Amino acid sequence: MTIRENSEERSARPDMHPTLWEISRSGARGVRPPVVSGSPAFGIPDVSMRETPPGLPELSELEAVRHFTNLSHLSRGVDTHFIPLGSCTMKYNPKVSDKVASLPGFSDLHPRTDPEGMEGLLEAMGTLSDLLRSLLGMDGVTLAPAAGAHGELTGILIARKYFEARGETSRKVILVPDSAHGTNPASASMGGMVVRSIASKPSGHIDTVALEKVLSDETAMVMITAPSTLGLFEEELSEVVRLVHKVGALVYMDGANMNAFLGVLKPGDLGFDIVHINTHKTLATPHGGGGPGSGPVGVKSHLVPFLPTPVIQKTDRGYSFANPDDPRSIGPVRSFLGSTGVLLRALSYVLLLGREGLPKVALYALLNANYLKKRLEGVLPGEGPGLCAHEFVLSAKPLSAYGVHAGDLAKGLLDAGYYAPTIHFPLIVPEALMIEPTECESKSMLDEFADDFSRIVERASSHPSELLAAPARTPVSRPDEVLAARDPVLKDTTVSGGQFRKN
Amino acid sequence: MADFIPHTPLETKEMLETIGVSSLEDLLAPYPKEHVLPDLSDIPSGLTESSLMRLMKSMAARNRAGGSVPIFRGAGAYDHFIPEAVSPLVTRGEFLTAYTPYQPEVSQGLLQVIFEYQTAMANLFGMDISNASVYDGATALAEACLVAHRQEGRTAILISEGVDPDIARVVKTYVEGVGCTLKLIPLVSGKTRIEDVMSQMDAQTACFVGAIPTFWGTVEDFSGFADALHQNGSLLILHANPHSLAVLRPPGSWGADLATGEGQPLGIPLSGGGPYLGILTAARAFMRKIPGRLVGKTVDREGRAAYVLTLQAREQHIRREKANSNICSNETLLSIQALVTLSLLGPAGFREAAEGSMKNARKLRARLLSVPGVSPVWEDTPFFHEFVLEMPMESKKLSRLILSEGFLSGLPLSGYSSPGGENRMLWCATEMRTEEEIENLGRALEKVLVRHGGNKS
Repeated sequence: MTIRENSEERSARPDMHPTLWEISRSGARGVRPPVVSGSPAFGIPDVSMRETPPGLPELSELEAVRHFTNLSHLSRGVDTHFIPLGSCTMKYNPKVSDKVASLPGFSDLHPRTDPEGMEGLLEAMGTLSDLLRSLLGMDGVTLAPAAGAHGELTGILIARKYFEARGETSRKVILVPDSAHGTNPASASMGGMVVRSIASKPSGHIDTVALEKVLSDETAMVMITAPSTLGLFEEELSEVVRLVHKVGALVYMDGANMNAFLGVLKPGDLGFDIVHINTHKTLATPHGGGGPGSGPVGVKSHLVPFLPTPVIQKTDRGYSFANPDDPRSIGPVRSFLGSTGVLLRALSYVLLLGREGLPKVALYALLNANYLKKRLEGVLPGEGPGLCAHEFVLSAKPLSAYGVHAGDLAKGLLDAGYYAPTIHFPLIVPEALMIEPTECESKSMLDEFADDFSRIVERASSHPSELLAAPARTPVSRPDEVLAARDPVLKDTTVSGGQFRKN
Repeated sequence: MADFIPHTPLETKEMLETIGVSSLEDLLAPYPKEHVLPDLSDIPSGLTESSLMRLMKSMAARNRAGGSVPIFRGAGAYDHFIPEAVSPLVTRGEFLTAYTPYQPEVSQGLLQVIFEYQTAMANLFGMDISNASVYDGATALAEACLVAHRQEGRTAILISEGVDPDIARVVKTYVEGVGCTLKLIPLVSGKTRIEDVMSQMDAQTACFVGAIPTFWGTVEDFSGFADALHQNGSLLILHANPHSLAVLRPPGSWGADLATGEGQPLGIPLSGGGPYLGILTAARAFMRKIPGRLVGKTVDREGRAAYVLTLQAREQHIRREKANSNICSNETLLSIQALVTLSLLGPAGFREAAEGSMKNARKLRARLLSVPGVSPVWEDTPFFHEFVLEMPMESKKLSRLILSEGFLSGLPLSGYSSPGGENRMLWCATEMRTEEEIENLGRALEKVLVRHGGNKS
């Protein structure tokens, strides 16, 4: 097994990395804010003033810098490691896009600046809307949603408003395939809708016969992940769309896997009414350890009036805000225009690639996924010999005989110097490992990964105890998750800054 | 011009051979033939890095941003001091390009930082716990209201007019879906009166929401609110500007059950509106009811301290339609940014910055009131670093005129209901403003009013 160089180190001592509060020294000072002269008499009654200072750490600047730099060494990002997380599209995040977002003029722009003072931002956001409208094949786009799940909620609320406007208020049912991301049913519930799950066929495709039976005049929308979380293109998608539209319901595309379509297929052409795209997946904006994301939503013309505010419109004099008081809109879903710092990165990515580069993203994402799938054929059972889209799913079920599970393989991969694939998802595959290499990984990286993966699976049957003890080369071994949840410790109790409650 | 695809032509050929197809386009076989490779003529040709930078710089230059225009506007987003060390730390690839820390053994750094963020927020808000973040302050408050609603299914949310009306609109969008309604509690002289809350309270009241400070800058006294609400089985939710909590009494001390805030003032750039940071804190009783990720401390197999994502049974990937929320991606990088900023400033620097804002706001108020025709809306109502003034001209017009003089004025409140009004503006000064800027703004205002003849009202 080749071990990739790591700066991570397994510590011998129990607390190698003390918290900010453990290294805090009373009276220590870091960076000084601007000095402002003036009287400290502020005219605020004592009852509304803070009695004790908040429990914040006291450090020198160097101590703070070292603390965070050293902690960064205990984490893995795309910049340091191959992250084959299925449905997460952990591709390279271009540095030039970071630079664009931090340009003076953008980074220091107040969101409530008068419209004539934010022409540049409006043009950037308007341009991105136009580009996304084209790439998604939709008629209107909102950039407001802060993440994919937020886009889903936005889509659900749009559908709800649309049916209310048509007087079809009994349409409350959202149908979600059992292979869908958990966010789909959760978003539907949050939007006040009723969720029904539709079972997939053994092949992982939607069962159109079963679907037709549950469709009714109470169906508001069917949410479909395309390609599916199994990395498959719905073989009967056009039939699904036809059936749903026939009963007057809408079809939503969860665009989490849009990397497989970018520049080669437009969701609007496939008949979808609403689609969201995750810029932190498909458009290469950094995932930031869990966010910020951004989840623009595209809709067909019949749904445009219901988009959330604010809406950017194109006029002969450039881009501007549309009338904010259109009663048909679902209203705002967050503060201000959108996560513009993220959206500027997405715009930069689309502009860099252009019409030549964008289709290559999907083509090479398919190439890498299919190549890796082929390389791993026979190692673990998968979904069969056909072509996959941008990702594929293997099952670690055969290893159960040795007491080894998908999660154990994941830990073995951590030791080998990778991040792990997505495990135990989709739920319909037992012991699932979902692998998405993205277009950005080289053939040599995929070859190395395939070799390591195969060897780890082999060791699972020959030396299962080794995998059950993995990872052995990471900063800590497997944390006790049961203990963590039993009596949760959710903050550092070195200081008692948080004990203010009087009742 | 760029595509970030590393394959050489030979490698591509070998890979296609291994797969058993002859061209990249063959890989599109599962897609419907009539729709593949659509016309992209409305997408421009790819740019080089240098031409992209040139284009984006020209767009950025068409914004009137803080670098060139001193900002006297807040209203939910603030121009605060950000130490130079923040950006290099936060943009380290191990943080910036990491995924959600689902594999704890290789994410200890990220997990510890989130744990420290949760600690800092709990301490700052005076609450028992904090989650790992939600999208922004508005959605944090909306999620908190949904927690209150889920307690017993009560549907009425009392919200003070002290809460940013734009945030209240976001809350409305969120809670209407599950059948809740908002009832506004009026402000009287910049304050929410407890008798007005109590008179609106009934068996359907899920919670009351107040603000620290109010959107209009005033500082309230929430004495007695928690008891009155709890007696009715309702919750107290306070939405606070975290910058103000360096000096103002924190939500936990008022007996809040849930407390939320917009984390942007904690070292996050204005950035035209996002990405920002939704802070969501709670009393421990709500630990299993709040949405979003939580990091907990535990031990590994050898007894080393270790951190993990915990209480995941609340979340969408486990509970699906029964989850506490649909949130998945949050704002981790911004939470790191807030934590790094607070660590660099420390409690003393953080307090100095907040006091600097308050001092400057008082200087600004005095200077503006010295201009003929400008008058206060409230004489003695205590305020933090924002205040409403009656201006001698329609506020949007005045704002445009002052912008053309090179200043971002207070927020025009025309279109806002009282204490907003056609001629009113919500002014703000942070610790970043200088005496010179305040004086120059005063002169610019005088010049504008003389030239365009303000209507003395």
